[in-house]
Amino acid sequence: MKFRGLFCATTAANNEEYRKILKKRNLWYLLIGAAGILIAVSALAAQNQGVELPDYILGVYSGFGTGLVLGMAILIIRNLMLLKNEEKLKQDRLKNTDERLELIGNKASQAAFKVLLLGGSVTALIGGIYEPVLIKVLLFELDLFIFSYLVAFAHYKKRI
Amino acid sequence: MQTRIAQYRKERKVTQEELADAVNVTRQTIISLESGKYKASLVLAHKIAQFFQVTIEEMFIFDKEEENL
Repeated sequence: MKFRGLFCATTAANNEEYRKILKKRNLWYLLIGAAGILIAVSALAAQNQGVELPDYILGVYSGFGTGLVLGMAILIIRNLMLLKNEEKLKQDRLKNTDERLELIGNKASQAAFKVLLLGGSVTALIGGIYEPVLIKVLLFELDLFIFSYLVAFAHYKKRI
Repeated sequence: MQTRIAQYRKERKVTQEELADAVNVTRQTIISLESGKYKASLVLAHKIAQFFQVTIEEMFIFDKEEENL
């Protein structure tokens, strides 16, 4: 049994193993939810301490933090419901261990990354004319992506 | 890739659901394998062949041209 993905893929061979994985995942979701609370509260606390924050930034921080908390709460409740129902637990386990669905997920991620790269590059080149910071930020992201890809490729080349 | 999964399944009176449960995949994966839309991994091919107690070569028909064999 391996804890491969925080949200989906596992190698759990039976419901017992999958149950342990869901419990571990719930702990991670709790931590992420706590980070969400910290993000939302820290923005408000910073403002109360006299740090000048633009309204939209305050909104972004509060929204991001609240979004994380709500998202994690939904996932935790979903997992708790699955843990109580053996049949639904089995169905969910099969969805998470199925190699075809994993392949579909990988292909969908590849397609989404291509769109993200293309969108980022176009936004940097065109948006950069009007807002120079866009070109700096987006091209840095692009460089980071390429660098991460090369490091990951070298890493997996050694392992596989 | 063509397979004989449907043929063996019908001969042994095994449903897609039962086979899916036995080899830890969804029923949709069995449907895709039977229709040739999806190629099983070596591990899944082994599990299916083992389930029907046949060899992988008996269960999966390799297209020599398609697979460059």
